[in-house]
Parts: sequence; structure tokens; C-alpha cells
Amino acid sequence: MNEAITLLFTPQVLFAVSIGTVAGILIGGMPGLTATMAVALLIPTTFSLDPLTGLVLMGGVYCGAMYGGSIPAILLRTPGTPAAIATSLEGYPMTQQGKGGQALKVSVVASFCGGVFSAFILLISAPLLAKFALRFGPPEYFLLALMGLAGIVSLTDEDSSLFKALIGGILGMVIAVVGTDPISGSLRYTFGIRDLYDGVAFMPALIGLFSIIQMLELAGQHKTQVKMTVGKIKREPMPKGMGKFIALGSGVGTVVGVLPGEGATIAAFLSYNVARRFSKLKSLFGKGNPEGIAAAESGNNGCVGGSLVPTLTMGIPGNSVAAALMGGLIIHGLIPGPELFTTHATTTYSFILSLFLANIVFLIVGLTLAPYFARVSLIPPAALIPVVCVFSVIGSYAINNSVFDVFIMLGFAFIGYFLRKGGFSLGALILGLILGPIAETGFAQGMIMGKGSPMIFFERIESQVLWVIILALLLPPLISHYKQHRKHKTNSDLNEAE
Amino acid sequence: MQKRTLDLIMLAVFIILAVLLYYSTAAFPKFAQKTTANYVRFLALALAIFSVIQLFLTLKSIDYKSKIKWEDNSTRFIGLFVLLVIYAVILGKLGFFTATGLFIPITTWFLGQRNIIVIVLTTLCTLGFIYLVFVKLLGVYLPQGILI
Repeated sequence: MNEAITLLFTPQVLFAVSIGTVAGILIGGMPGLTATMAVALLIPTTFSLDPLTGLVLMGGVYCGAMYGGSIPAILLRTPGTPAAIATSLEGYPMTQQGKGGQALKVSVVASFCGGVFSAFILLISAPLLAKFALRFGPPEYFLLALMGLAGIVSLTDEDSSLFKALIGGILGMVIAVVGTDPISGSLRYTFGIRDLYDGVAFMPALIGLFSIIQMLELAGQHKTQVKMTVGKIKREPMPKGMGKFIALGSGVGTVVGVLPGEGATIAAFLSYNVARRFSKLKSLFGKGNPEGIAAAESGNNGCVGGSLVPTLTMGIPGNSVAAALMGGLIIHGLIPGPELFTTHATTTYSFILSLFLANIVFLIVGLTLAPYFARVSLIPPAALIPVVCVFSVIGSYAINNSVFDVFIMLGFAFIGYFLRKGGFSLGALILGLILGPIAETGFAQGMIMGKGSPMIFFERIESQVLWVIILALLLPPLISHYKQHRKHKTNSDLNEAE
Repeated sequence: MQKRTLDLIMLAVFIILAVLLYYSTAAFPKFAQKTTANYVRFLALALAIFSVIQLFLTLKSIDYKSKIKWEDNSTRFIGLFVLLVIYAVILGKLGFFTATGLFIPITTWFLGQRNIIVIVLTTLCTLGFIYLVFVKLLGVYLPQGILI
């Protein structure tokens, strides 16, 4: 740990944390640009940096973007990231009442507390979980991948989205099968294209699904010129009684973050709803209640550390940003799993500790410069879109120095757009693509261990625990889906009777 | 287009894909039959089962009249995608900086920006930033073409 601290406090690393966090705030503050996109586009720039500098840069961007989205949400009612939508419900009415300064202060303090709490949980729980993960063999890794997919659907309750999310995940796993067979070494589904021998590259797919689609949709909006002004912001003290809601949001956000597949948007909304339930000022929700901002912001920043727990210990990303960050880890030769806490312990602990620093950086920046950062959301989309597209192209190309990967990016954007319109989950697809190789290797090696019998996936105690978790994640949405189906049927029967 | 129509088309494609995937495993080497071939069969079966369940739910859905909301400005949406494809095609032929030097101003203009100063500054700043950070500082190799 001492070595990790020494490594962290080198000028190069401190500079990377600061730059990453400020860049994250700026990117998070631009509507249409998300934390996933920011981390994904940053990966090629970290190629030539040493692994720790590259990682802290990405960690800083992740923390900064989570907070940055709240600034335009409060001042302009334009959430910079989807996770800041809940914040805008209370933040913008406060700005209209002349309390924008107070809302910004609540937002940055809550984000800081949520971020620090979740980083602390990551610091203490990740090594324990990694030690537990040492007992995992191939069958358990296969089940872990299934658990990651089950996590995606655990909170879906719309009528038909449950099976569409599962289909999305399976599609991702099917795409991951393309390339060289990990057991026989033979080529599968490559159609003679040499660029596919190593499989479908994950980064171009991620950039296509999360960056290009967003740019296409932004271009397709009716108005591409935003005309808004940021009024003068008064500096105001922090309102009293926020501690309870910050604690609530931090806890909910961290737990939601740990669950594979659950993102910061869900964490923010869940924290917001829980806060509304426990608030004594329920009637003020929606009209400018700082309690809502405190819960939502601590919730979405709490998700940061939480999402990195399964990512670092087991290689199961907590959400799409963590998935992008995992891509960065792998590119730097740091394979997620127990080894991160043994062989690469110094780098890993330095990275975790850098998250605390990133939170301090955005606290200082947020308390002093937040209103000025809101102006980045006024950049005309007509100028922003081509620039983001160019960075997306570089990001896709630079991984393998391959123009073919640029076409992969465009292909995923094209197909992903129609899948999204059809209600299929793109998050599930990308998670399936990441988890596919883990699942396949685990399955194949498990079958060899079990001498061809699938019972190997049920015999060991670790496997049985994982099956229980998978069922626990899948059953509630299945029951909710069944109830909704029954309700719809009863309603239509009643309509027919009338 | 109705949501249900798109759903049915997509699900039919997934079911066909699942069937093809299942039968394609017969061509796997013999010693992969009990391992990776079984994994692919597992995926094919899962895809087929979930798609059939979803197909059944879509057919029974009472919300069959709702339409897909496409983008408000479809010209810009499609135009940007076409420009991106052209950009990717010329990237390897003209080189990164020439292709990008054409892509940014044309796209900015196409998306409605008419201020020449904004267009020129956006192009030059982006190219300058990429050159300094990616080429000089980070040493990233970018596509070279017949120009630069």
C-alpha cells in the first residue's frame, strides 16, 4: 500500500488525475456525450503512457463525467449525461427560483461524498472478493458471465423488454464467437477476412454503439442549434439536513453499481425515489427540493466505485463505462481478476486511491468554477458532431491500426440503431460481447473438466452459490413480467366485455 | 413503420440466425464438438427460445398500432451516416489528415453551420490537436495516403 501511495504522488500521475477529471467534467457537461464515450475515446490516447498514468486518466474522466453532467442539468435543464436527468428534476426549478448556486453546491458535495464512499467500499471489498474469486474455476467463470447477463435484466419491467434484453446479451455472445476457436484453434465465421481472425474488436463496437449512434441521433434532432444563456449565479451556503439523503444515495448508488449491468442512471433514479419516500418534504419534490439533488448525485457518483468492484475482481463490468475501462485495462496488459491484487497490486491500489484524488479535484473545481463549465453545453452541435465523429474514428482505428475496424464501428452503429428502435438493449449486447470469450472459455474448459458432462456446472458449492444469485437476479423481473402480462390480459378482456 | 412489424422482422432474422448457427457447428473439428461446438449450440438454442417467446408476446401484444418514431430530421441523420462511410473509404486512400480536413468542414456545413470562421477554426483546431497529441506526443500511427 505504501508503494501505491508513493507511486500515486508522482507529478505525472497527479497531473493525469487532474487533467482527466477536468476533461471528464467538460465532456459530462456536453449533452450527448456520455462517460462511456469519453472513456472509450480516451483509450487510444493512453497507448503510449505507462499503465498507471493511462488508468488514472480514465478513472478521472469517469469520476469527472459523472459529476459534470449535473451542471447543465441544474442551470439549463439539459442533463449532460443520462445519469443527471433525476438531478434536473429538482435542480432546474431551484435555478428558476434564484437558488442555482445552492443547487450546484449540493450537487458537488453530494457527488463528492457518493464518490468517496464508493471508492472506500471498492478499496476494502475488492481484495476480499478477489481472494474469493481465486477459488473460481472454469465452470464458475462461465456462470459469472451468465450472472453478468442476468444482471442486465434484473431491473427491466416493461412489458416486453425482459426477453429483448436477454436476446441483446445472447447476440453479443454470438458475435464474440467470431474468430479463432479457443480450444481447437480453428477459424469460425471469419469468411476469409483476416481482420476477423482475432475476433470482432470490442472497442470499435463500443464506440459505434455508444458514440456514433448518439451523434447520428443528435444530428437527426429537429433543432441542432441550442440557444440558451447562463444567468448570474449567486454563491449560497449548503442547506441543512442533506446528510441523510447523501448517505442514502451513496449506499444505494454503490450497491446498484456493484450489480452487473446496472448503470448510473438507474442508481440516480433509485436514490431519488428512495429519498422522496423518506423525505418529510414530499410535496416539494419536482418543485426544487435539494434533497432530491443530494440523493441523485450521491447515487450516480456512488455507482463509480461500485461498478469497479466486479470489474476489477472478476472481469465482469458493472456497467458500460466500467466495460470501456476494462477494455483500457486489458490493452495495458492488466487482465481483471485476482492477479490484479497480487501481481499488479501496486498499480491496482494506486488506481483505486486515485479515485479519491479525482473526487477531491472535482470538489475543488465544482465549488469554484461550476457555472463557467455550464457554457460548454452551448457549443453548437453542428461543430461538435464532426469533431466527436473524428475522435470516434481515431479511437476505433488506433486499437489495431486497422481501417477495417472503422467499418466495424459503422456497422455496429447501423445495426445498433435499428436494434435500439426495436427496443433491444445495446448495453446487453456490448456486455455479451465482453463476457462472450470468458463464457466460452469457461464453458469449454468446464466441459473438459467434467469429461463432457454438464453436471460440472452444478456440482461445486461456488457454482451453486452463483446459480442462486443468477436466479435471484432473474426471478423478480420474470414475476413482474408475468403480473403485467396478466394485468394487460384482464384489461383487454374487460374492454372486450364492455 | 409499426413497431410490431420491425419486431417481427428482427425476431424472424434472429430465429433464422439461431438455426444457421446451430447447424454450422457440425463443421467444427471433432475434438471441439463436446466443448466450443456445444457452447455455440447453447447460444443458438437460447437465442431461438428467447426469440420465439418474444415473437409470441409481440403477436399477442395489444399495443400493435404504435409506430416507430424515426428522427425528426432524417436528411441530416442519413446524410451524416453517408458522410461517415465516405470518410472511412477515403481515409486509407487520401490519408488521415487530408480526409479529416475534408470531412469536418463538409459535415459542419451540412449540419447547418454557416459561419465560415467557426468552420475553419473547428477544422484547424481539431487537426492541430490531433497532430500534437496523437502524432507528436503519443506517437499514434494514423493512416497515410497518397497525400498526407
